[in-house]
Formats: sequence, structure tokens, C-alpha cells
Amino acid sequence: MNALRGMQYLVALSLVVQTLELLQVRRTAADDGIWRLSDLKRDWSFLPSLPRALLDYTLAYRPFVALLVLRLLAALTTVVWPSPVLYGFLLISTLLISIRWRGSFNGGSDFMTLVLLSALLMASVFPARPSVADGCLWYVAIITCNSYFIAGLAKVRRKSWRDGTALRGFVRQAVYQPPPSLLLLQPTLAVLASLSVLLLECGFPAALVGPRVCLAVIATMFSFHLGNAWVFGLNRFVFAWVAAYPALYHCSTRLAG
Amino acid sequence: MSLTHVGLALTVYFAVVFALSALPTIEVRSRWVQLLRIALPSWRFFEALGDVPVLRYRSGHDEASLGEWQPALQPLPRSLRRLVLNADGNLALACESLLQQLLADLSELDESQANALEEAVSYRLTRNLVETRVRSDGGRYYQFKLEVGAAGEAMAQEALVSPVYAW
Repeated sequence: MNALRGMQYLVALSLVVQTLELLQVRRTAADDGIWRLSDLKRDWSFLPSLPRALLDYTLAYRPFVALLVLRLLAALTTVVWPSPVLYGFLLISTLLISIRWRGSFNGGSDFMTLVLLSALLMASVFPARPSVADGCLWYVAIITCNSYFIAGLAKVRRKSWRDGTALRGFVRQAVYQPPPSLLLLQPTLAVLASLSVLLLECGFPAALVGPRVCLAVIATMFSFHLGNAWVFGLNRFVFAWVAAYPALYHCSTRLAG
Repeated sequence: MSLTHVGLALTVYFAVVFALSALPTIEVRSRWVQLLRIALPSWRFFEALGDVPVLRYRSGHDEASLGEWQPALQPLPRSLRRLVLNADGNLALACESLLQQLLADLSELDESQANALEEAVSYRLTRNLVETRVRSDGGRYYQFKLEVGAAGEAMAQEALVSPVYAW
């Protein structure tokens, strides 16, 4: 199934980017770094002794760096060999990474990665059953719609989003400087940008109406994510959400008959 | 199930999501939930402007003469390269997330529980963050504070001032 294959390639790309970034900042997980194991152990001190010992060993600096290297190799290997073993490993390593950095590295994109990996794992366990692959693609498509739709609904209820002040505030808080002056200096532009975000997010489920609408929505949201990466530094969201778009397109073609 | 039925089911589904989204968010402080927080997304990205924590520190070679307060996190320059690989940008976001966790832990404690705060993981990681800065500055003793205010406004309120530490 083409959609599943497209998703496999894009998920592999997303995992490679994530893992290379984590390897670049691996020293923050060292014994003299910020996220020291000796301090983090308190997070899982309530667990029974066996899982606690497993986490203590796996998340220590050297084994953890080895885990990241294996994750990189596993992600690359799925391009040519999409096996359940590799997807199972990638799923578990994503959970361990989240525990190691306390969910701090773009938590939303980590969850989307889990969704994609669980769908690919399930599809790889039953490769001869198209109905399972179809179900996995529907699962990804609906979660993707949920992610935008719920984010949009939460914002649309806020006056600060409807009048543009929230967007201007978030732009000021961004980790990059200087912030894009157009959005900060021109309130009218901030209102227009805010209303566009609300419309895009709340209207996202319309992508399922048919393939033409879906392609238009996908192209628009890709630009939206690139904008977010430029303004807020959320590059991981680009890769994680784009990896879900083949499933969305597949489902829109199914619904259109 | 026909395509019409699938379309109808999806419409009903998103109507239910719409209705449920009006419910208030429930804060669950279970340790299991905290450990596996990745499995419970809220999807409410950038919902509302909250308090913005800013971490400042000062350091020196002896305890009595610490230097000026300076920000622990510096803004990064933009670049096209960061659209693909953005390790230090994501690290900066993770540090901001750490400060938000510290602020949340701080709000749950009163003044009589200062010792408990020093034992909190978020506090210890924040101290590690400051310590890495101090080590690269060449200092030996250091102190840090957390200021809280609205985005883009002058910081008005000190939420926390640490004791002086040495590394």
C-alpha cells in the first residue's frame, strides 16, 4: 500500500532528525550535565525493583548514548526492512527518551511519533492483511485531525487568540531573537494571522472530504508548520506531522469513493 | 459499512470531540502519569499566555562577592539550517519546559516547605543548568533566582531565590 510505504519513509526521516539532534546534545544527559541520572532516579523511585533497575541501567549515560545510536540505525533500516522488531524497538526507545528528558523535547511531536510507530508496528505484524493496514492508516488520520481540531477549539474559546494578543505574546516568548517585527508591530496583521490559525486548525477535519481538498489542506499546513519552525523553533513538528499526511490522503480518497 | 455511513460516523465523532473540548482540563499529579506523560497528550498547544519564568544567576570565586545577575538562557539566532536540524533550539525549548515544571512545583509548596523544593527533581535539574553555565564562566560559587512575569513585559516578581552553592 503506497500510503503505508510513504509513511514508513517519512517516519524514518523524522526519527533520524530527532535522534541526530539528541546525539548532538547528549552531554546534557551526562553525569555532569543538566539531566543527570542521579537526580532523575527520583522520578521512578516508586517503581518495583526490576523495572527500576532496568531504567537505572538503560538510562545511564553510556548505555543511553548507545541506545540513541541503535535508534538511528534502526530508523534507517526500516526504509528497506520494515520489521515488527525494529518498530517495537523504536517505540520503546521513544518512550525511554521521553522519560530520560522528562518529556521536555517537543512533547507533542514525541506523542505523534508514538502514534505513527504504533500504527506501523501493527501493520508490520500483519503484512498480508490489507484491512489491518487500512485500519492503521485510519487511526493515524483521525489522531492527526484530532490534534489540529482540539488545538483550534482550545484557542478559539480564548479572546486573546481572537484579538491577536496571544499570538503576539507567544512570538515575544520565542527562543529566537529578534522576533518577527511585522507580527509585533502591526496589530492588524497579528489579528489576521491569529484568525488564519484558528480557521486552519478548526477546519482541518475537512481534509477528509476528498483528495483535492486534502492536498490543499496538506500544502497549507506544511507551510504553517514551516512558519512555526521559523518563528518558534518547532522543527520536529514539521517532520512528525508531515509523516502522518500520507494516511490522511489515503483516507480522503477512500471517503471520496 | 458504506461510505455515507463512514462520513456520518466521522461527523458525529468530531461533534463529540467538539462537545468534550469544552470540559476543563484535569490536572493529574500521579507519579505514573508524570513518568509516562508522553502517552497522554493534551493537544492544547499554545492555548493561553501564562506566566513566563526567567532564570538568572550570578557567580564568583568566593561566596561574599558574587557578580551581577545575568540570564541563564540567551536567545538564539535564526537560521535556515535550524528548520531541519535544530539541536540547540530544541535544547533551549527543553530548558524553558524545565523552568515551567519548576514553577508548577513551586506553586504547590508553601514557604515552610523550602527543603522539599530543594529535593524536587525540577529544582535539582535547574541547579544543574545553572552549574553548567557557572563552570563555563570559570566561577566557583553561584546563586540563582526565578523571576515570573507576562511575556515581553519587565519582570516584576521574584518567585524563588536560591541559597549560594559551590560546585
